[in-house]
Amino acid sequence: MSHEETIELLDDYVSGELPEGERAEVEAHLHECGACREEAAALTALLAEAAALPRGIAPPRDLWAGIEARISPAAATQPAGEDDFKVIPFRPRPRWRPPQWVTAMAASVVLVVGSSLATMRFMGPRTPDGPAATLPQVVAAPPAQAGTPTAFAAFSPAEADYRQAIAELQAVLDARRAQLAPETVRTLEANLAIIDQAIRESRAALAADPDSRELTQMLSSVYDTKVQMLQKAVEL
Amino acid sequence: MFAAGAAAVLLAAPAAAQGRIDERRATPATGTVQVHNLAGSVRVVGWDRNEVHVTGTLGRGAERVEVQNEGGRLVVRVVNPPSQRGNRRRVEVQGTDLEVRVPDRKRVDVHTVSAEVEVRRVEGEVEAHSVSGGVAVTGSPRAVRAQSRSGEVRVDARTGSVRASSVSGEVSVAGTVGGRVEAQSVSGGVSVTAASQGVKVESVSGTVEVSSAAGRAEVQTVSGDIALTGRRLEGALRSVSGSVVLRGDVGRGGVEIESHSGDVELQLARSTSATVEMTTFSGGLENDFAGARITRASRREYRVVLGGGDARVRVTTFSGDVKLSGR
Amino acid sequence: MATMVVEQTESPSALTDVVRRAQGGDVAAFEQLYRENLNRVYAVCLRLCADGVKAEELTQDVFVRAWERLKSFEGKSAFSTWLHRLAVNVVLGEKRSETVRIGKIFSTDDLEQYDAPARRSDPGDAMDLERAIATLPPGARSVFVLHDVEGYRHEEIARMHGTAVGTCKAQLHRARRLLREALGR
Repeated sequence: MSHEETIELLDDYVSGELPEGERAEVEAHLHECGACREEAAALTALLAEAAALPRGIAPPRDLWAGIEARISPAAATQPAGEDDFKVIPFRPRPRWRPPQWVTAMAASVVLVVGSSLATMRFMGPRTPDGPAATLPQVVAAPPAQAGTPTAFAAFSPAEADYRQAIAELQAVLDARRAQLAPETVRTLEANLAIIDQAIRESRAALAADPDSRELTQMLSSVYDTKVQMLQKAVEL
Repeated sequence: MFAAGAAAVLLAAPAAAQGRIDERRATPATGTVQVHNLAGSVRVVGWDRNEVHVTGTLGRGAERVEVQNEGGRLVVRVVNPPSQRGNRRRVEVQGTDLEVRVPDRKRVDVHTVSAEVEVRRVEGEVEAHSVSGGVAVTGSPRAVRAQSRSGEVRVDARTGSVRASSVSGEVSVAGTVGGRVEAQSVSGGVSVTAASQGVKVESVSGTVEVSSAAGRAEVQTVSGDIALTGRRLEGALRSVSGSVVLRGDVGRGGVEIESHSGDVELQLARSTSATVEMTTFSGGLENDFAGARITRASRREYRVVLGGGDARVRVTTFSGDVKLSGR
Repeated sequence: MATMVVEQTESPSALTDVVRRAQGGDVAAFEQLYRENLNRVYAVCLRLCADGVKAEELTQDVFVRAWERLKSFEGKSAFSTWLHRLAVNVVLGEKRSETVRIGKIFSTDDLEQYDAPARRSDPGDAMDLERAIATLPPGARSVFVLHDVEGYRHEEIARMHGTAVGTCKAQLHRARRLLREALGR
């Protein structure tokens, strides 16, 4: 088997997915070709590492409440149709989680990136373009001790909650869009844009001054407004 | 809800097109009267007889008006031909104008699509829903719940509580409310001038004006401007880009104002005794209140003492300016 | 790891008491199943979508879907296997609809952009495999996660994605190459 042909088959070879005949041919080539041996060894190492990844990862917070709200028998027996959107769960979000929460969060470490930081939260959003942009975003507790995170870092679990609530509501609203008057949709859109702008501004300010409780409160408040507005919008 | 499928048990003789309506039913003093009319108008007026009297003009194309007992409620319904069902032929139906006299202690429940709704002199609870028609409630009902999508909603009554909402129409609540007023809109303006125990208003882009004689006001908008006027003001006002104006003086419960980019104006009576605590990220503070004592508590916090500094006003803005003046 | 590929023909004992009770509408029993399987479901959601917040959402969707479809579980495989498969379908289904939904009507938060500087890792900061997987392009990432981490076969992955086996193999090749580059090997 030629070098090129072997390279083609290496992926399947290391995964053990080659039929007997081809496997023997690849192995024969590997005896002769150092470059292919190296390649195969590197691939095997990668596979071993992948297979050794933990099968389970604990989420940073328990997710049962949100599930339970959606599977309660009452919700399940709701007739389908127009009222569907009403069974979408929504639980009021705390505007500000007490600092104790932070300690709890620190306990449920999601991902430790080979560094000395103990509390890291993996919440990397996925953007389709560019490896740099798709690096998982690690919102770390401040480079201080885990016990004294910045106001911003401490807010991040709450922010995740807000974003989840927003995503849930947004999906419901998207689904109901056709039932709303175009004028109403425009008004909602324009105002969501205003809120998003406010979120961006508050967030940028907070990123520059992550210790500010006032800014954290402001950001929290704008998120609150967004959740409430969406909540109202889905009930229209 | 408007389906005319069910066979009517007690129904009026089929009325001729555009015919006069004149239906009477004896009924107990209490209980519920429900009125359904797609288009045209509905006026419900309370009187002191134990009788429902339906008058008006049947719209061209409408079949009849039925008045019947359904599960303990007296239901008045304009029946239209089932055009959407079997025959594809589009049937033009004109609006029907109904005037329904009801025992004044009845609970009244009106549902329309484009019909205007008016309820007067009813003392039971009033519930009125329209899609595009306006809704107006006066008199002294026990409680009012009035709703429209694009129509105007007006309540001017002496009542226990009010819940009024519209999506794009204006909402106004006046009179005297023993309990609370709740009003909602998306783009329509909201005006509450009723005296009440408390007011809660939510709007998206609609302007909100509350001038309450008493009670705590909770107002939230995104881009709508908010104005709260009156004596001994108390409450919480929140907006994202809308401005917030407070006019009058502040009650013991204090006022809390939050705005992201909207400006905040405090036009306070000269006799006001309050401490204004203000937090802003990039907004400015402009003071025209003579005798105000301003200190800067921290980089982003100001403290303004007016008179004895009794009541508390808390203002938080991100970039909105705060203007303080005496009046 | 690779064993889970096989449709385990376990005896109907996979219809454990807890599963049966959950099928009968017992929420407490279902909660127990949730507790037992949460970390695995979350892990596969997280690895497939590379977004912690989204993964939480998807995890909840998976369990809600599981509850709705619980009756269709006949015990032909382990419950955890059934659930895992369901999770993959939920995540992949979500990805397909996502393209349609994003930017459909309402603007989504642009929160990410403010984190861009914080997200860039220090040069010289060695990346671990978990993070490197998250940096993969979506298609390559899901094939790698399903094939090399979770042990599904190309045929199944191709079916799940609605693509050809060849495409799937090409994506895997690409993923492995990108990962080795990212990890500096």
